[in-house]
Amino acid sequence: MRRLGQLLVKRFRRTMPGPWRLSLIPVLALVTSAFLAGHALAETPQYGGTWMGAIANDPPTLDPAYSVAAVDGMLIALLYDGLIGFDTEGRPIPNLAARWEISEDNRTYTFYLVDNAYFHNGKHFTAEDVKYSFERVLHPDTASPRTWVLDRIEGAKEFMAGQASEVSGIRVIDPYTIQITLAEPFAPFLSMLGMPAAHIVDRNEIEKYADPRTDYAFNPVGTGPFKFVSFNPGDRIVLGAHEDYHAGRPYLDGIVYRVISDQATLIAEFEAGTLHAVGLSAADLPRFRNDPRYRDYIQTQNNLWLYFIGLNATRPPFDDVRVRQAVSWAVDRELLAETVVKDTRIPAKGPIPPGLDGHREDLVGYGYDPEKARQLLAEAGYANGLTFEVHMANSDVNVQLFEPIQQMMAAAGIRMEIVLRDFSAMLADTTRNAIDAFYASWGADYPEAENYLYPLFHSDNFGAGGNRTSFSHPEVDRLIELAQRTADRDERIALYHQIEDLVLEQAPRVFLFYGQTWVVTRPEVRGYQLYRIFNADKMTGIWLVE
Amino acid sequence: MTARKPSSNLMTATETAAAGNVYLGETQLALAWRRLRRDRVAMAGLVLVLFLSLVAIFAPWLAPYDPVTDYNLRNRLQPPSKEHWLGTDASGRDVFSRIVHGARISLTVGLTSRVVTLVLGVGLGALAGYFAGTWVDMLVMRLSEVVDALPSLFMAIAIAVAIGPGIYTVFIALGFVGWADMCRLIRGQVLTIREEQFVEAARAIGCSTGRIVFRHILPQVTAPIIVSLTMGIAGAIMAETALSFLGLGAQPPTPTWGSMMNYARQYIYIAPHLVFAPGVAILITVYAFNLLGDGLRDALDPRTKT
Repeated sequence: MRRLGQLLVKRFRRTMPGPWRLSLIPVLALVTSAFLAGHALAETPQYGGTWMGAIANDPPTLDPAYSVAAVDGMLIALLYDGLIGFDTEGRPIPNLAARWEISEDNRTYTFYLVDNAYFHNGKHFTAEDVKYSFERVLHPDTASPRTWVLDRIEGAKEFMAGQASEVSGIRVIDPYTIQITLAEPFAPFLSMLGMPAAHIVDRNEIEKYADPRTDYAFNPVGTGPFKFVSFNPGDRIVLGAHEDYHAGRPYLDGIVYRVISDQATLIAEFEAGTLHAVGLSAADLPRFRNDPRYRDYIQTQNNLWLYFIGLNATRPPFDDVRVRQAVSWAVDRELLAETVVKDTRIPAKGPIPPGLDGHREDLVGYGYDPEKARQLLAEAGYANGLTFEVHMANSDVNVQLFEPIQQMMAAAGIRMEIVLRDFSAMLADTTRNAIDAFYASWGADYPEAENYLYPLFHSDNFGAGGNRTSFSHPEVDRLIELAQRTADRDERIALYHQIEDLVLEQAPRVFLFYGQTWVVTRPEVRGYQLYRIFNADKMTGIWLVE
Repeated sequence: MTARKPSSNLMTATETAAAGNVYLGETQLALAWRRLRRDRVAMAGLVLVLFLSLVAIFAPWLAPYDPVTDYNLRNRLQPPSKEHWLGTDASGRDVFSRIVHGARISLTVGLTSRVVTLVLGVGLGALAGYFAGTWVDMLVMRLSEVVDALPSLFMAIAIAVAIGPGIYTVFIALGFVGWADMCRLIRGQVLTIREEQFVEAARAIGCSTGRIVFRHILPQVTAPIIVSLTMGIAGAIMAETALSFLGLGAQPPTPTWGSMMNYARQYIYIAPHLVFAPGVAILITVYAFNLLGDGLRDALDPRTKT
């Protein structure tokens, strides 16, 4: 729409001489106001009101340095700011950095910072805060699981090894200018600065605590549009508007996120008017689409989430590639996408979701072939069948999806037992390398195929780094590193394809689906948008009628 | 005592009451059975319980489809029809077959957990009653008060969370939370009975403590045990439903009524039969056991009749 508008304006300027243009203004104003009467667009945003939202589980932390889950990343984006933010499509947009320059050799980034940003404690934000925040993530004492976000900065490796007191590639030029030099060119770096780990903290707040890892975690102070008010585990988290937000105070006075994991409860709450927006599952979608009260308030977006079953490559039976391949052949993704998860999931062929450069529509991947699975299992010595446990978050939606998968696997001679449990506990088990198989998903930190390859399949990232299946393959490692160093887009994508082919052959994960989000909002909600990146929404454009 | 025809074996209620504890050539149980047979409501409960037990025993032969493996995603969430009497669920499985198989789980849980309760409750209760006033009594009673002070469902949830979900967890959790009531009931009964003359007599002729408790005292408290057992089954079935509903019971794809209701909730607007069918099954079962339990109490111990 915006692009169409720009085109119209351009055409208009070309065809109409200057003075004539002015005379048209009142005419246009009349026409547009008549056209927009009664439309949402004609309304002036109002301040006030509290957003009632829901989160599926308690955030494990609100400290950017330790954030690895989607729920805390989303909250951190509201409490803090990064140098950049993301638009709805996932393109970098200015945030604490008003603008930036990238050097000819693609190694040096100069960020010109906003001079009107304040932390929630009133402290003025400057370039020193950026330096402190980045060095904190890299510092060996911090032991952040997200060092990979920043370890490409020149001097980061030495700093992490304790051989340097500063990261040489981070230079404060003046209070509002900071220069970051990378060891080698790395195209996704700018987008990675939007990740939770690269959000800016205030040194004074961290150093207040003897053990920041535990004590700071739920006393967050950032520069973000909302400030922390309270957190009652298992119940709710309350945020209030940051009056001095550098991009202007948000319209909302505050946000209350209640902890609700159950889809049926979420829907009931939404219909009772106690939630402003709710995600729709495949079970809810047809009803809401056909309901005149709601159908005009539904939004959808292809969301870059990748759903998979992780198979631990270091433990039997999945240390045998044939067994992993067999499991990949034993799920009928197409049938599930047409029925149980209709319209909310797209069958996945490989790890790179549609919408990213490097996604291949013509990728073949694994289909449903129980005979082939049986054959592979027989070759691997499981002629009499294979039994394994798959761990997953306890939710009715997961059960509805996995009961049919259980039967599909049974047809291939695989006995898959479903173990329902607390999601955080399950993730902790994968970090300890303690379970054979688990169902989870991976959302984009930044819109680049590399984000689906390096964290998930590189042997540097075992556990919380993202490679929770402990998959290790020297050639995959080598190609990923090569792709990261490759500045040329086409060459890089060719490498991504090579990596994807290898990963598919090695099958450390059963790629099930890509996600499609559906959200319905209450009629009084204005300015609500869906974002492809999980932590892109700053909630500053949302306002409530009345 | 009123006269009665020599040819008749029947006794009227008045006769029974007048007879009191006098032995009339019939066992206490036979007497109770006669009283129960006259209680039509209780008999309805009994017939239902027997019917449900048969359904549970013969589930694989009664169910037209396999409750787990006969799935068909192209035929999911269908309303009741000739092929599927109670429709199909989210995986396209026959709901009727799952209900029938679910009866097995529910009744097994009800019985097993009550047996655990029985062993713990009767054993400890008899012990505490016989040794009333000693440290044994003290220990058992304080322990039962601790267990009883905590809301039983919360305690069952805590136990289930601690030892991990599953059907055996349910047996243990429900058995463990239920014993305190049974224990106090038995202790009270034993306290009264052990002062009776026949116990004194047994002691006088040199019977061992074990023999006195198990041969002389416990048979006298069968009535309250049977009543508590029957009523308890209904409670255990409800508790199993709650645990399964919370995902702490038998794991998918095992068809239990509680989990069927749990996983059907998200389809309540488009396929309400998925919630109703197991709900009605639970209702009927619990009601049947309660009716039977009530009737048994009246029949076994007419003095407590309200």
